[in-house]
Amino acid sequence: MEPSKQDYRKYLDPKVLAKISGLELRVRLIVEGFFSGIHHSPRRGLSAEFADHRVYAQGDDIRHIDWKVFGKTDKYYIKEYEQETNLNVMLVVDCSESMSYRSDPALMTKHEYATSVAAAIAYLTLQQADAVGVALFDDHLSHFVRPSNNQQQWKTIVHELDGRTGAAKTSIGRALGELAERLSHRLLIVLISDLFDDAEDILRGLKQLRYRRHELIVWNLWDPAELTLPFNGPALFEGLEATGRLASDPGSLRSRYLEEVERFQSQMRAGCAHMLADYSVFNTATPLDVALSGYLATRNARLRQRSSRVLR
Amino acid sequence: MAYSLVMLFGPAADAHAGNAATTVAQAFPFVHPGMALAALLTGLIPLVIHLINRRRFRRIPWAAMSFLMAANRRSASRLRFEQLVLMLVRVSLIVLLGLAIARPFLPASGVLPFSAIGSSRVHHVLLIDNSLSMNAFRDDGRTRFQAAQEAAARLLASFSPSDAVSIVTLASPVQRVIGHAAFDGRVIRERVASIRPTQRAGDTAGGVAAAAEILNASQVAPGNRSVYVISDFPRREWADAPNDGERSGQGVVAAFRRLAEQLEAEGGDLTFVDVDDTAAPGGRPGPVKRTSNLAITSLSCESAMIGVDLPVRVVAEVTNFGDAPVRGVSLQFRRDGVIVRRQELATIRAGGVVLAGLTTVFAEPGTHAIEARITPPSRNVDALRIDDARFVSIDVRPFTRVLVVDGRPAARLLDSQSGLLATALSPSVIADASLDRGIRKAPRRASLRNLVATTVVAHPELAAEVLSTYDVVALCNVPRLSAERWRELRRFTERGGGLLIFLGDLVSRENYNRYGCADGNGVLPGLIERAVDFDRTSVASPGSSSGGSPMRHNGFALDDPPHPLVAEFADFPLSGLFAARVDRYLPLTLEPGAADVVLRYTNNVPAWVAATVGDGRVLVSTTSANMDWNNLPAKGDFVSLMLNAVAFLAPQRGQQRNVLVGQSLRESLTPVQSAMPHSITQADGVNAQTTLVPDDGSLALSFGPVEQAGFLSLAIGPQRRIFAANVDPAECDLAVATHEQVNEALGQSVRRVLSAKAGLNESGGSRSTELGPVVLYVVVALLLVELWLAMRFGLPRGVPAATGTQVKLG
Repeated sequence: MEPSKQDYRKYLDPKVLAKISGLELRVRLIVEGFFSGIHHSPRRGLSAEFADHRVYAQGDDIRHIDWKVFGKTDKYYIKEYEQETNLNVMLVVDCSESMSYRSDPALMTKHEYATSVAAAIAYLTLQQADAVGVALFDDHLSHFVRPSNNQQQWKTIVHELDGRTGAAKTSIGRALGELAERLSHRLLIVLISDLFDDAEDILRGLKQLRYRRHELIVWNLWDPAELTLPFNGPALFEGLEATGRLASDPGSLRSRYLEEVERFQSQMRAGCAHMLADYSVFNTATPLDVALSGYLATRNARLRQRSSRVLR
Repeated sequence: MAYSLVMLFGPAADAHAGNAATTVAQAFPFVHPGMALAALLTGLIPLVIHLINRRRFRRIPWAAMSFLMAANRRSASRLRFEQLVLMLVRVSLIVLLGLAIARPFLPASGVLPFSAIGSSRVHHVLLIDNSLSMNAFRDDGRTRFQAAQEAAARLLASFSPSDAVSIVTLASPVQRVIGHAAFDGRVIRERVASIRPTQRAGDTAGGVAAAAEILNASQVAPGNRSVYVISDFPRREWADAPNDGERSGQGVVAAFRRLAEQLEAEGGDLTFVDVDDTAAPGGRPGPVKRTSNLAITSLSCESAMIGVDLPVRVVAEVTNFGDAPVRGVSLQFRRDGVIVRRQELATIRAGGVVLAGLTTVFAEPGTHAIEARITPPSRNVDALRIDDARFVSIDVRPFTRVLVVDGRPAARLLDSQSGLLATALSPSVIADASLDRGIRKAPRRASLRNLVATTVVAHPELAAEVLSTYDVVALCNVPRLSAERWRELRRFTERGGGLLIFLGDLVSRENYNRYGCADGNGVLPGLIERAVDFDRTSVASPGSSSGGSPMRHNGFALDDPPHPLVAEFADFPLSGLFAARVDRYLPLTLEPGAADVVLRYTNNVPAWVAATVGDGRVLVSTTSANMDWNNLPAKGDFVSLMLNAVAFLAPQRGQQRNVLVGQSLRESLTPVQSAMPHSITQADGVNAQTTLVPDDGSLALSFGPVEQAGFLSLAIGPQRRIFAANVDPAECDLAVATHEQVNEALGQSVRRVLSAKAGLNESGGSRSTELGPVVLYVVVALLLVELWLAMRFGLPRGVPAATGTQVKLG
């Protein structure tokens, strides 16, 4: 591996990214590092490509006849291409207070992780000449940038994402409802949140989006401590978003807590699967290339599902 | 001593539940009750830790609160139950551990069926009498001590191998042969076999106290403690039993009462093993049978003045301790190993005493050995042989050295304060001295005709004198002395010297009272008051004094009975002592009991006062030594009175060389003697080494304690000192206490058995059972349960600590 590529990949590690304060710089490093790591051009697969030959049928556009094949076989064959479609993306990022949590071993808050990933996706999307927009929410939809692929969109998105602090309680269902009202075209909606809200409300909001035929990707962010509850001894838990206090011995609650987390994740996973939405759990200690890979894989899968073979 | 939980919680327990609780509490007393109380208190430790931990929580900001709340809602009741169970287990664990250390035991009267699983180890304390009386022969030809050793051996053989044994011997000083709890039967038997009878007196009270100390330190259950006293139980120790219930005091009965009470409270046993089998048949000690014994109970020198070529009378006191008169006892005296007299004694009635004397003259100075020995007509009348001889060491010196300090030297002998006194004590010295020199020092070597060698000095010269070279110091109207001189006189008297003080017109009351009396720490027995002119009208009535002295003038009178120093004058009412006239005196204010009155004035005021200071004596005459204030020196009895005074004050030489068996010898050395080789030959002819010890600025030889009666010869270079060691005459009375006497003194709490009786070791009741091991098993089980519960309840184990942070992004 070349040294330069090695240097880029290190920026996918949250430990390193946490030291970089500027979101724009951070995202560029993420994206460049990601693509240098997979040895592929970011343009690959994104242009119109030859797919197959088929026998000419009546009604086909003669412009698609492959005359070279005709010269060899004396038969009319039509060149078939994959359809080149637009997949506009709306990034929905949770900015509630709970997203500002970070345990001591973690180097990034959930919000920092979410904005980094969102900005990286926006960058990638713009690189594909697709339109991308961003929506921020806490207990309501607080900021909204309509999808676009113009030159200034990247700057606008980064500006919106960078430095947005959480407000109060999370109300994901309500925010998604507001978002659904404001979106008119089909979009790939990427929801990045800790989803610390009632699962039924969240699923209800997702259903509204799905009802409007939007594609959904739900990324559920967790701090490492939230997945293990690693505390010992008597502790007073002071809930963010004014969720109250609890004095207890976390060691004795750990198993029940993990069961509750697992139950929530299962409920979300089942709900999303039911509405053909993609649900993924991310630990903020997870390197960002995993998230980006997951995004691209999901996106390509969506494209393949949506697209049908068409003749050009 | 056994305590129960009732004592811990106090008697104010619930009255209704009291009976059952008391029964249970009494069923489980503790060897260490204080530890049990502490164990109960330590049971609070888990609670306190829990409460402290609850107050010392960490604050953790937390986002996923809904999940935590849900988990808590689901787990709250379960967690409370788990915590309660764990808390109970931990409290029980600590309390039971403490109780196990406190060693609960099941008393012999316990009703619960734990006896089969606990330990019933017993601690036996054997008090074996090895005093002089145990050397007495029994009817079967064996000594009492032999019977005691056999009884001890049989007791040891009957004990369980797991039992602990301690052994104390009762000869003074009490010796803890095995002071701790010993378990090795072989070692114990060897120790018992190594005990030897002694010629010392017994200290039963000390032995009982030692047994009580051993029992208090014992680690076995209180109910499993037993004391065996193997002795002849001398009647004298039980005859003077204190009043009912008296437990204080140092007596044997009081000590046994304390021990019996302790053992009775604990459920232990106190058993008397009587080695005197001369009891009535039937296995029980019968009425007292006086064991026949003849003994010389005293041998003393009765002469006040002991000197070369002076007749010295030694008197022996022969006592018949048997219950029948004894005839045909012969007595012989030896002087320095040579038989000087044989005497057949008259019939000695039962319990009676016969005196026999020896008058002898010592031609050479030094220590001399006088021995008296009886030969009984048959062994049947004398069960103890050791006390058939008695020994006395007599120190014969050429003269008594007296330092006379004159307060006002004068050219004429009779004008000085001390001339008449010195003349009375050493007439030949004064007669040979030249009178034109006034006060002179007499030659150090006095004529052998004089009993007293007198040295006269003026009072300023006192500081130059070495007081330890004199036997008596006489202060004659000395005006004043420095504080250092008074302290020196105090040390002189404390070490056995005699101090004779004549007051007079020169005496500074302030100086004498301040330094001489020194608030009771000086040599003067009281404070000196202002001089009193004898008033004839104040003469007491004849009835207030005795001695037959006519009370017609201001003179001297005797007390009734008279003081020994002047006792010989009591039979001579026309003596010059009573004819003397006193014009003035300096009265002394005496504290009660501080001094004895030797002579009084006819007005009943003390005239001569004697007091004891340390090993020495002080004699104070409140009037003058010359004829300034009285005309006693002009009377013929003045010489006798002064010689008696010197004899009274002179150290009882040789007294410190007569000791009882068990005491130590001590001989002061001069610096020259300290450098000489020294050794001592004991009564059995065995040489032994002496020890040099500090002796108030010089050195002294120490040896002891002496183990055998007889003469000991101390060689210091070419010189030789004879010491005499005798048995305690109290031990010669071999009569034993009756069963009734013991019962009357101690009640029925003591078993008394004969040493020959079968079943010697039969206990009075069942034994207590220690439950400590059982409780420890429970503790171990609870510990395992706690570990299992802790793991079962999912308490944190090895999870890394972490804290949360809320980051606000601007």
